[in-house]
Amino acid sequence: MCAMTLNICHLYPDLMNTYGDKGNVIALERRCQWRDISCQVTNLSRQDILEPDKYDIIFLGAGQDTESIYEDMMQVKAEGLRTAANEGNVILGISSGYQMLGEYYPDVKGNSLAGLSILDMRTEAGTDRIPGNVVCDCIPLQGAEPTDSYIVGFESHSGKTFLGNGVSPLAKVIQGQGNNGQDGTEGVCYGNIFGSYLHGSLLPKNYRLTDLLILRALQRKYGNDAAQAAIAVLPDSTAEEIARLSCINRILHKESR
Amino acid sequence: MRYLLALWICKVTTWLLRAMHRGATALPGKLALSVCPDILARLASQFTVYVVTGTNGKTTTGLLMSSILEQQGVRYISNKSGSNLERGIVACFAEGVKVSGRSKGATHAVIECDEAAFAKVAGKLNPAVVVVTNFFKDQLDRYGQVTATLNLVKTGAAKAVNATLVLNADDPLCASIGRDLPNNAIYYGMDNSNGNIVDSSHSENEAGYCLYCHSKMDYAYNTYGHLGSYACNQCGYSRPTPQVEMTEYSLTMESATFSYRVDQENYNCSINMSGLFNIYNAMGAIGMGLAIGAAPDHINHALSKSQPGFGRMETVHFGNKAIRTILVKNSMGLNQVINYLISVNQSMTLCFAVNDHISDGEDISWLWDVNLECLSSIKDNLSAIYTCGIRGADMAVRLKYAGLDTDVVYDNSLDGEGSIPIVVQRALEQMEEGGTLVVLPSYSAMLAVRSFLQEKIDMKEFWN
Repeated sequence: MCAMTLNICHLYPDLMNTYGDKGNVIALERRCQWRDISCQVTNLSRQDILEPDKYDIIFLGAGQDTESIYEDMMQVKAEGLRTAANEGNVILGISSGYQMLGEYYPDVKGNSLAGLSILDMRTEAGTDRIPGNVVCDCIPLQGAEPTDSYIVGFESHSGKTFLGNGVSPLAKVIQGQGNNGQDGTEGVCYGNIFGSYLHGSLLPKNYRLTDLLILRALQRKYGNDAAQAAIAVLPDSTAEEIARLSCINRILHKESR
Repeated sequence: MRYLLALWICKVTTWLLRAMHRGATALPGKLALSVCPDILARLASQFTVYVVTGTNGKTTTGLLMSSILEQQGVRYISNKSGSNLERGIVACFAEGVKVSGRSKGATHAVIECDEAAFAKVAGKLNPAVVVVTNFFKDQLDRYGQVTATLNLVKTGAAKAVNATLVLNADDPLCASIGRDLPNNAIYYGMDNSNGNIVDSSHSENEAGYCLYCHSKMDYAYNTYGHLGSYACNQCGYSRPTPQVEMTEYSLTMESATFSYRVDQENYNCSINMSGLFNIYNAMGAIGMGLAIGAAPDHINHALSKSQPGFGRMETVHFGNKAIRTILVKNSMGLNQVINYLISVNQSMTLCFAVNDHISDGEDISWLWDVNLECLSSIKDNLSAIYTCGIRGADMAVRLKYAGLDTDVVYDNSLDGEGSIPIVVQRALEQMEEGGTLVVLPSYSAMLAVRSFLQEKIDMKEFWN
């Protein structure tokens, strides 16, 4: 079998990293390396051109104030991102990085801004930010064992995201607000594009989701058989599983009391 | 009359709570404020007030400021137990006055103030000196973002019309307070033009963009994070020339020695705590000393006598084993502790204790902003790494992804918080004779570690 390589693009790590979202990139990198998949991370900031065919996974973290990157995002990165989305590159956006994938979203003052319009979703300005822990059931992970698909994290957003008919939620909320606190959905999933409000960071504890993103990227690049074979090499995930379960148990136990 | 009534309520509730062994909590100050909203201004007006605020280093800087006053023979009060919101500050002043409302004798007050609370209380305190340490990402679930915190402090400083501002010149956010306000300002900083200061934690510059025009700033050098000598080529904003500047330093496990320059003169100073970040804290205190006219030699003498505060590099000994507790509240704080651990190059056992109560910050995502990967460079010096606390398992995952083995002690049958004394005890027992255990707790975990250590000390005394 030929050596595999995945290239990850981390967008604006210096400006969109409010909540330790770098952990998502670290998680992808390590879980590739533990499978002998070599992994290159490229940081792109303002003025850097995003060449979509160079990257298998594109990550966009959160920033409380997207003002500093908005112009650059719309003028320098938008085209590359849209191409990547159309070509099936794996894309993950967290919190404001997730909101920006939609039609519009609110800035820090609550004014509506045009988004990248990659996904059929909209984010309305909300009145208050309700930070808190979230447990939800991740739909693409659902399988034999019911709680294996649970993911856990921390949300902190005032914007309310509503998904259009063309896209599906990433997860069903069990505890917490999720997209809008109303319809029980959390995040988005459309082809290889993923969005979520969860910090924590999201991927390290929810390692099955990390592996799903890696699988999707490998499938696209190396075909299904090779990808399945590579992902089947399961690194020891005991520490992650303990952290995930202890968090879930504590949140569900505490909040229901 | 309302003022005296509020004062008495504050005193009586404090006394009652103490009698019930509850310690003075938030309640006394809260009640007093509800009876007399301007009680703080009335209490504070009898004192010359020196305030310290900023993200990291408030408690230690405040302690060093107090030691300078002590050396000057000044009688002062201070809220050193760390209750730094308005109600805690009220309680501190209430304790400093008699039932008549007159001071018990102290003429000065050293007040550590939370950044958000500072916006509310600065006008009431009418401080003579305000020391601002730095601005880093911290407990974002409370403030929003760093520039929002900076603006809160600016709002407060604008009301402190009579204050001399003592500002960290190396922090472009902090120094901007002096640029935006008409107050007298004393700047302190570190000269790293010879490149002697190395940040082994490789902490990231997260405020490298100009506050005024959003362009990327040029740095002649960094000390750590966004601290350093910066200049914006676009709009001209640049590091102000510090009146007090560190020129050289060296660190041991327990102490720091450094030289600094004031008006072309060089002075040597040593403090009983280590880490580059603590030299910044000392520089802030020196800035305050100069602001009140203390002589550098007197300041240095005072600083050499001071001891670390509550959980801030406090060290206790059990036989020939040492336990050093270092509070870590945010990513830059932990990065700088890692920088210290790497630079002292000594064998040690580490124990991370992470909780997620409101006082710790409920979101523990910041663990992923810390360059724990750097600890690999001193792997040979690390006998073991333990994790405990409510989020001990999260910390273990973080360490695993940083390429470090953890001796994870996490039993799900225990309440996560209950694991702290058990794990610290185990780390202590398994450590080699003569070893050092460095405990790195979040805030509430620090309280748990301290009460465990207290109990151990008592036990020892009892047996002796």
